[in-house]
Amino acid sequence: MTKPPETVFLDTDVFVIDLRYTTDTHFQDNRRLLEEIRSGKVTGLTSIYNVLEVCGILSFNLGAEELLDLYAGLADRYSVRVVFPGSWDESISFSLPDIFKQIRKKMSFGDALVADIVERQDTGRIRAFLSWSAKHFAGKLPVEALTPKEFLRRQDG
Amino acid sequence: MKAQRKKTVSLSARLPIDLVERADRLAREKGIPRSELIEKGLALLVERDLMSEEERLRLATQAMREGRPAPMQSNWSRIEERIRETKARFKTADEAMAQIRKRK
Repeated sequence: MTKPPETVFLDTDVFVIDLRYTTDTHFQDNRRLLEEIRSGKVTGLTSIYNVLEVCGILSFNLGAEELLDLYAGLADRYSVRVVFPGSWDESISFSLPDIFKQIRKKMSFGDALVADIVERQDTGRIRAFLSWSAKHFAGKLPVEALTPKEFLRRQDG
Repeated sequence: MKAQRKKTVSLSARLPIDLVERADRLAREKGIPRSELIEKGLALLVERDLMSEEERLRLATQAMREGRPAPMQSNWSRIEERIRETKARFKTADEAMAQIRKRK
């Protein structure tokens, strides 16, 4: 029986490196990971916070039209599923006690938002949280925090 | 049964040479005729103009939430071109992440 593809949760820097920092030393490994996702070998998840962060970083380079295109097209371009906190009523809300619980683990507010949404997923199904700043999440998530390079090495292993 | 053909009309327009050259290059890359590229581009422009930014944002978010592509097509070649043409706000991806997440 064929093994189902593993699911990973992608942090903002994975998209940002691919789109903006093409001379980054991690670019090749990062691109390889994204190709694995695009080809369906690995299933990719990310959150609406991450999509908005990508837009925020690139807002300095893009006009209003392109920014909206980036927002609307990011998930499809990278073949990732975007998850949201709670139900959708055109506003994004979070639970203060839940975010505070993350902050207590010594996290910045932005990291806590992402950590909270990772925790809200079916974590038994998620193999790892992938970030080039995985060290900031080490031991603080219900899933392993790895760099894309570490994840690929294990896949190759 | 024969498929119904869309009614068409012939137009002539004066366009900048460099724009036509870039359009032809794109049409070749996509393997479609120039006329089809122009038709698609014009349709995209008209569709966008009819929809407010707020409405497009709402539809895109709804699609994202339902795990399907947004109803409007993103112009990725334009996004990539703009990124290439402009200077990064942050020197490195690390710096960008440190700034947006307010990490020390």
